Amino acid sequence: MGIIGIACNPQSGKDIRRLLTAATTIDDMEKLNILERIMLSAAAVGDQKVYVMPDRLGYGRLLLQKRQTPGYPGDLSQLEVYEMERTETQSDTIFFASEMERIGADVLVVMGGDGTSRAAAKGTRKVPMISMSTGTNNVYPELMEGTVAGLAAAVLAGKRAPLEACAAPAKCIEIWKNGALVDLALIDLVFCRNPFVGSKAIWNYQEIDQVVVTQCSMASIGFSALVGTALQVSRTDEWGAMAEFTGGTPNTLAPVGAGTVQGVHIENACRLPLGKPVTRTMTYQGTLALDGEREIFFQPGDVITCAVTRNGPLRVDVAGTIEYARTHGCFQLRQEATA
Amino acid sequence: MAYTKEQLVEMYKIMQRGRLFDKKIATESKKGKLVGMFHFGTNQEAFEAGLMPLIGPDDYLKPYHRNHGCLSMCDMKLYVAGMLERATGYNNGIGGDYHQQDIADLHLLPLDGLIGEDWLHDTGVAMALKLQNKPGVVINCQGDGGAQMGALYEAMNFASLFSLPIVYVVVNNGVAMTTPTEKECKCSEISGRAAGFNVKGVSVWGQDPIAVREAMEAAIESARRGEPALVEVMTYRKCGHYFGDPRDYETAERDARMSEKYPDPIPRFEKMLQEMGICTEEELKGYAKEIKNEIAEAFEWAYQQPRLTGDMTKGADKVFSNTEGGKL
Repeated sequence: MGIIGIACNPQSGKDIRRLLTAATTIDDMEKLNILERIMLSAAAVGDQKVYVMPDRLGYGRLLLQKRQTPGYPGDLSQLEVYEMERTETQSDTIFFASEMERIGADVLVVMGGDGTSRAAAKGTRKVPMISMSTGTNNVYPELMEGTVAGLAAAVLAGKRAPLEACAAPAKCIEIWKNGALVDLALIDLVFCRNPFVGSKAIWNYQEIDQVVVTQCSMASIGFSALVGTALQVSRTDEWGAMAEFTGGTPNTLAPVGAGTVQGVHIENACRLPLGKPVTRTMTYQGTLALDGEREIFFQPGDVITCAVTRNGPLRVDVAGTIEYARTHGCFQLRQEATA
Repeated sequence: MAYTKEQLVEMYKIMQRGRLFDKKIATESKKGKLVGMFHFGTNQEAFEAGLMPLIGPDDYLKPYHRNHGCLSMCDMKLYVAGMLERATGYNNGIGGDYHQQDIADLHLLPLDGLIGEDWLHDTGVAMALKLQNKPGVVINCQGDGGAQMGALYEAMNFASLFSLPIVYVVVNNGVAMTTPTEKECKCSEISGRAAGFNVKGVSVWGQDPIAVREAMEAAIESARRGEPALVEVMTYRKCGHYFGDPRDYETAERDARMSEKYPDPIPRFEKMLQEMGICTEEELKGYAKEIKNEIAEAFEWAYQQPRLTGDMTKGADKVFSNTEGGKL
């Protein structure tokens, strides 16, 4: 029987950026609704086991309660809350994703923002991942209907489409500090002049020194869009990009955050071939922000190296998967012979 | 750098003041020199360090009952005297630890005996500021227990409707008196409720004073524009509801999990200040000693002050009134 894993980050879409910008708020109830729609849709397509990551609120537990409600019309029989110790931190998503790889899950659905998908990618880069947007700067995850995600997940869990037709390795940015691999980012790495991790978000764009991206376009928001003001890189291109930002006179408008379009001064924007390391010996105290969040402190003298590679998670092309399944008759219903 | 050394040291001292003041109360209580119930905020001091430096002279603060970090806006000697029921302390010594207030001078708003009722009172203060065209912002602090009270709904609806200059702070420390948060609330974060009133709500990790300060700065700025905000500070209370509480309601498993998720903010901040080369270990020890001495002196002074007598607690001047009575 196929296995679908679902990691829903209860904290995504609730950080300080709601105060600083007009960023989207996605509350618990909406996440629960999305989760329910994924489950119901997947159950309509095939038989599989669906493991939901345990969390502080207990999305899975609440759906189990719903299942037991007399008269509930849906089919949530496939649902099981995965048994694991929870820390209620990012580590839970990392561990859950690694567990899905260990038990041979066919697909992992991740609900959150760029940071949540990044955490899942740290847990597995082998299990095909459907990244659904319920966060702030959503460049990696897609805004999609839960019903649609459930269809694609069930196609993969039922092995109704070959993996190579449905998923491909995503790009990522691998990061080394003083020679040791310390982390990865899926969309962008920012060298930030603010030395404090603090609330993680960056909203003072004067603090941005350099941005390295796996993909970029002005048709998105956040730090990748900063580089996107100079050039466009798609997720399928075999290169990334980088650019520097200074306090000089702004030379372009950039959609830097939700509802925030402002002038920035961009310099030396260029493509970055896959695997080509970029090494800097830092001359100031600052932080490395990964996928929009300040994470790693650095000192003057620290050597930071990064490289855009194809070592990211297996990204599922949801629309492509469903289309493949449709054109191969996977959703067709058998006509019962009449007597 | 986003903050100067002076600002960072101030935040450190606020955390130490809250922690060491609680410790002093414990010491004095064990000696039998203090009476009454004392509520500590052990492990949640980063919340005060992030908030207190932002409160300006026009602003009003209603702390909650685990808020000894708010002493940074008080005269500590007068506060301790008030706590020890000395006639020369704040509120002539009748406030105890729980109900000290100084509306006129310090803009320190009173804490209601009924937890969660002052959502309404402080929203009224914000309404008054708006009607009088005054520039301040009201900061109303509650715990996660207070956030389960019905007054929240009336207050936030009113604040939103009239665009009041108020920031609601919910210190979600994982337990309301003796009830774990997950047994009193079905939401992962209380901040999500704000959306129901068209108010912006965010949750912030409460063990880093910088993170709290960044959130508070944004919230206060928003409130000054007439957009009320709710900031939920996620933390964990590493002490009983009151001094002497055996914490029978807390399991070892949950305590270990929560302690890992919400580590002690003081050594964490000390480590950061040292790693960044802002303070040496010796400097930090010096600041802690300075605070310890400040607290010891305040207690020593307060013990020598005249005791409150029965007749001093009576009279119409002890009742708050806009038109009659005296200043409390």
